Amino acid sequence: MSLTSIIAKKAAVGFILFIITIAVNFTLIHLAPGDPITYLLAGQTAEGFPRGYIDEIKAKYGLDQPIPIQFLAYTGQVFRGDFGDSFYHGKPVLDLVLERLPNTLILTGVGFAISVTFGLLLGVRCAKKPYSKFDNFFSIFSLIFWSLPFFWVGIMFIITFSIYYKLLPAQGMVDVGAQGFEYLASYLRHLTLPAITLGLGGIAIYLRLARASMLEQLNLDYIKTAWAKGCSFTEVFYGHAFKNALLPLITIIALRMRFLIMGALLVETTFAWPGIGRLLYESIRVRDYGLIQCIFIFYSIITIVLSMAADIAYAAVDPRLRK
Amino acid sequence: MSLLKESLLETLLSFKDFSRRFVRHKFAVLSVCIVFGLALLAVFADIISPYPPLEQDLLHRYAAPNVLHLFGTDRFGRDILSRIIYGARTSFYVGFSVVAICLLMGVTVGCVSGYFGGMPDELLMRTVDVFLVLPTFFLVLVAVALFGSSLFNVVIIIGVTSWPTIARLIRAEFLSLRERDFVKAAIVSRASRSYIIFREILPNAMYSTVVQSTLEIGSAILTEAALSFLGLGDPRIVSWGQMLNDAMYGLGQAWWDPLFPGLFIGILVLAFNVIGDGINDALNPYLRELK
Repeated sequence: MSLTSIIAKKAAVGFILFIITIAVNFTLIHLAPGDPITYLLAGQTAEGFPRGYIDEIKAKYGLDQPIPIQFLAYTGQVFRGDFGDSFYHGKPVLDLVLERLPNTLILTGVGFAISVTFGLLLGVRCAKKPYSKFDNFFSIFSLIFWSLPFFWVGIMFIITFSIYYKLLPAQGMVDVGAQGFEYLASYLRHLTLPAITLGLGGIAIYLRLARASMLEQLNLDYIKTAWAKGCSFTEVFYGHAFKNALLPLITIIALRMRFLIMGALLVETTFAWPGIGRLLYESIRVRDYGLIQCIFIFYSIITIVLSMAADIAYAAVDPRLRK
Repeated sequence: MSLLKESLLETLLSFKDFSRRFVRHKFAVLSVCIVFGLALLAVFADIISPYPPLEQDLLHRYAAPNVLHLFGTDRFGRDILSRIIYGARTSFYVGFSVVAICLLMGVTVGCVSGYFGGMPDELLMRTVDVFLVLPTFFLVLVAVALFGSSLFNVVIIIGVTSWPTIARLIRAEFLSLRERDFVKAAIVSRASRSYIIFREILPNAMYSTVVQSTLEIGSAILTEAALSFLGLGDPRIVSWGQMLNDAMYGLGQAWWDPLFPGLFIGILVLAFNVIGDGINDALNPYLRELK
């Protein structure tokens, strides 16, 4: 099986999963107590309106159609990108989401990069001398940060670095009115605390995994052969063991992507970072259902794309999976 | 039912060996003490707590930790120490209820899927896969937004989104144990299906499940804290996450306001994680003997 056929297969699976997500979204909204008519009438009862008015509204919004037809109509809308208007913001829902999507992606990306880089590097270094002081310290360190609620760590960071030491800004994304280079500088300053908060918790997972995976590899026969052959430490440790230890990590990293996005939501709320996580939080508070649905679908798309990409990456790296 | 009881009894008898190995890990023992201590606080909250958790003292808002209020007061003048003690109840309730739901659903699905294979397995695993792709935290958020934020709802929703992990674990264990000699011996001796499932395979599958469950308790507590932090928890009860939400209002005025709730969440979750690790280490040499 070639790589292209694997990509095609994964794309097909991804598409099916996307349809299922739309279905779940649709079902959830329809399971909610109350019906759209009540919502549209803003809480007034149906009796106060002239006869036939309710039927008119139902016909207008297609609410008198059977459920499967409604579902097909909804799916069509999703594919056309028509998510309606947000009643709270007064703007089309899609515009709102697309405005803030890059912010979230950047924050998530940087946080993820911090987690994976430090996690893997430290994990491998720990595996070099298991149970040494270095290893014990970082293993305990990462376990502690994994257990602490990271949004609380964020709050503690704000209190320490923004309020007591006035080093880094507490909330927001950029200073008002900054242009050009100033803009970039203030953007980076604002990004620091949220990204670190996001990344810190993730380090624990990757550190433990990298360490365990490396130790597993180092016990295998082919490594012993390499030592016996007289290969240098770097050759064996990094050239052989590390490369093979990475393989299972890719799957785990892919599985963890979902939690990263969840983390972004909490961090965005704590640091008032204008991303779609915070948008979701606000829309839930005011029960802006159109916006909630759209964000939910976007998050699903991101998750599906990431997990399919991970599967493809795994197949690309390990030729054994292509058969 | 008696088959289940017998398998439980067998597991309990091997408990002695397990305890011996578990006690060797000092941190794990410490964690058990911590959990036990916090549990005592939760159970005897009415007696131990210095103030009622909801009592406000507006003359002494944001008081720093002092002799009267050991952990200080929050924005309404409520004693933080008392709220921490009552909050422990919520955390334990959520942690254990969610895991109970997870185990109930996960073990059932995992058993059926792992033992029978074929069509039921395929169907159930596809369902699990769908759960894995859905962004679960958002399902939780959206579901709470739609169905209301009572503690009961929160527990159900977290439980429903967490059981797939356990199901997968049990299924994997079943698939590998099914081929082992002792199972084949049981089949050849014309043992009934229930006997094989409950007395032969399930006890051996439970080892890694127990470890995963302790980790799941911690995870459930963190999820509930996150929900309450976002303001979506039950507003009628005291929860550590909710205390963090309150702390956001006067951020910077009182370092003790967010410090203690978050610290206790971390300690409790850390304790459960370390216990899980300890159980894992204690069970592993036993597993090695099995293999």
